[in-house]
Amino acid sequence: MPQLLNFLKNVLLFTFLFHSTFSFANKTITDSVLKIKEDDGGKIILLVKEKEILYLPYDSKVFDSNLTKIQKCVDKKNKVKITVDGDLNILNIEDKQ
Amino acid sequence: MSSFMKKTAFITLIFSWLSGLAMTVQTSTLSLRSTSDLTKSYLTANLLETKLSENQEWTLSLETWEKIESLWIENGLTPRAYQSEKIKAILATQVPTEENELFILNQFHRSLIDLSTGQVDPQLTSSDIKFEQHAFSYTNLVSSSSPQTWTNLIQTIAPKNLFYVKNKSILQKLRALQVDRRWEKTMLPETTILKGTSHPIVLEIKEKLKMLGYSVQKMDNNFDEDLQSHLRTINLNLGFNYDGKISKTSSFWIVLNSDLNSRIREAELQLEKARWLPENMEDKFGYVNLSSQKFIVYTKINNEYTQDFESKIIVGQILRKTPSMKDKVISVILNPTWTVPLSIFFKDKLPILQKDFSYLSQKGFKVISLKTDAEIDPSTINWKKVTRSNIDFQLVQNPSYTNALGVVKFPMTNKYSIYLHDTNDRDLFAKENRHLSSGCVRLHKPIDFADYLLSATSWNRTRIENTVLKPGQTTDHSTFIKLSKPLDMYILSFTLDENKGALEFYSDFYGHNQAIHKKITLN
Repeated sequence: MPQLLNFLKNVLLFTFLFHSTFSFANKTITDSVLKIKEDDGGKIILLVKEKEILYLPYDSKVFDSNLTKIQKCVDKKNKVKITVDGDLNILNIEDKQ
Repeated sequence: MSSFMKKTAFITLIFSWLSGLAMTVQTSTLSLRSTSDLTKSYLTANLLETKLSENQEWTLSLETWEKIESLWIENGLTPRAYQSEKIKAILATQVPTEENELFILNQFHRSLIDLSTGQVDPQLTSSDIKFEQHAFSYTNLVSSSSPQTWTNLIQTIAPKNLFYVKNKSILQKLRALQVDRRWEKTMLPETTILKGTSHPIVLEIKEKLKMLGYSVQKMDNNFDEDLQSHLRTINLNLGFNYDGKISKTSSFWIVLNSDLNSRIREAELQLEKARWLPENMEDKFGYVNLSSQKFIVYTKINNEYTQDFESKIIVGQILRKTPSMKDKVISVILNPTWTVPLSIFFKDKLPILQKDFSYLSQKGFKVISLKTDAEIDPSTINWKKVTRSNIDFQLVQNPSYTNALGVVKFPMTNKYSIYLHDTNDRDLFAKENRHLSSGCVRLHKPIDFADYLLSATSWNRTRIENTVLKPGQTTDHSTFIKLSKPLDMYILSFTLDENKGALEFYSDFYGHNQAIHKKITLN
C-alpha cells in the first residue's frame, strides 16, 4: 500500500511538473479547410470544425510543400490531416481522401 | 546509378562487339565525329549529333582542349571539376580508346549543362532561394545554322544575360589583377590617419583603388577629399558607416586587403547566380539586389540596358530573409491597409491591448473576424483571455501616413506575401545596413516609383500626390490601380558589381555565396 501511494504521489508530481511540456506537444487534426487567409508572416488556415486557427509561416522550411498539399486538398474538397506544434504552426499535411 | 551511367552502360553493351571498328587516331588527337560508333551513339543519345555539322572538323587536340579550359575559366567553371588534367594526359600521351572518348565526351557534356543551367539546383543551396533550375536543351540553345566546334559550342551555350556578361567582365578583371601580381596585402597602419595629412600608406591605398578601376585624382601620399570619398563609397557599399579616417580597424580593408583567390571564387559564384536568370531577359525589368540594398529598373534601348529608375531599399533581416526569386509587380495601391501578422500581434500588440484597447482607435486599427470578415467591436473582446488557441480575428490598420506600409504598396504575385512598399519609418534609409524588414522590400522613393510605373496612365504625379495621405489625414478606403503591363522583377543577391569601370564589393548578408560554394564543392 505505501508503495502504491508513493507511486501515485510520483505520478502526480510528474504530471504537475511536466504539465506545461505536455501542453506544447504536437497534435494531429483531421478536418476540412474552410478558407485560407494570410498576413505578412504566413498563411492562416481556418478549418470547418476545429475552432483553433492554424498557421503556415513563410519561414517554415516546409512552407512550399505544405501549401501545395493543402491547396490540392482544397481543390479536391478532400479532408486534411494536419500535424501542428504547440503554437499551432503546421508541421505536416496529409490528404485524407 | 545516374541516367548518364545507365545510358553509357547500355551503349557500351550494344556496341562493345564493335570493338573492331577503327578509331581514327592521330598523334594526340581524337576524332570524335566520324570514327567510333560508340561515340556517335553517345552524341546521338545526348542530342549532340544534330548540333555537329558534317563538315566540321570534330577532332580534339591537346591545343583545343586547352582552349576549352580557358573558356571554362572565363565562365567561372573549374577545369578540375571535369577532370581536365586526366583528359590532357590522355590527349598528350595515351592512345585514345573508346572508353577514353566517352570519358572526354561525358566531361565536356557535363560542362555544357553546368554552363547553361548552373552547377547546382539553386533551391537546394538555401531555403530562401526560390529560383528554379531551368532545363537544358540544345534545341533551344544552339541554332542549327551556327557552325559548331568544341569551343563554339561552349561560347554559344554560355549565358549572355545582362548580369552574366557583367560578372564575367568582373571575373576577368580580378584574374588580370592576379596575373599582374602587384596586389599585395597592405600592412595596417599603427596610427590613425586624418584627412589633410600625409602618410606612405595613402599612396599604397591609392594604387590599389586605381587597380580596382577607381579614378584617383592625385597619386601621392596626401589623404585628400577625393580619396576620402572613395573610401566612404567602399564602406557604404559594405554596409558600414565611415568615420572619414584611415585606421587599422577601418572597414574598407575588407576590400583593399582582399585575398584575390577568394574574390575570384566570389566572382565565379556570381556567374552561377546569373545562370538562374533567363537568357532573354525582358526589355524592362526591376532588379532588387539584396546585397547592395538597391532597387533598379533596367530598360533596353538600342539593344543596351540602361538604368531607368534607382532607389535605396530596406530588405529582410537575417532571420526573415527576403526570398530570392523572379516575380512581377502587378498593381499600385495608394493608401493601403496593413494586416498585423499573428506573431507581431502576440509579441507587440496584445500586451498593449490587455492594458488599454483604446490603442486600436488611436493607431487606426480595426478588428476583423477571420471567419466572416465582419468588423468586431473591440469592447466585446476580453483581451486578457485572448490566446493563440482562441484567436479568431485579425487586426487591420486603416490607411494613413503612419500606416506600417506607408502610403503606397506595390503587390507582387508570389505566395510568400512579399511586395514592395513605402514605410512609416522613413529615417531608416539613412542607415548603412538596411537589412531590417520582415521580408518585404521598402522603397526610399515610393512616390517616384508609382509615378514611373503609372506614367502612361491618367495617374500623373500631381494626381498621385493629391491622393496619398499626408500626416494627420485618414481614409477608409485604398485606391487600387492595376498595371496594364506588369513589371517583371528579379530579386537576388549579387555581391560584386562594376560601376563606371570601378569594381564594387558588397557584403554577403544572407550567406548565399558560402551556401552555393558549399553545395558546388559537395557535388
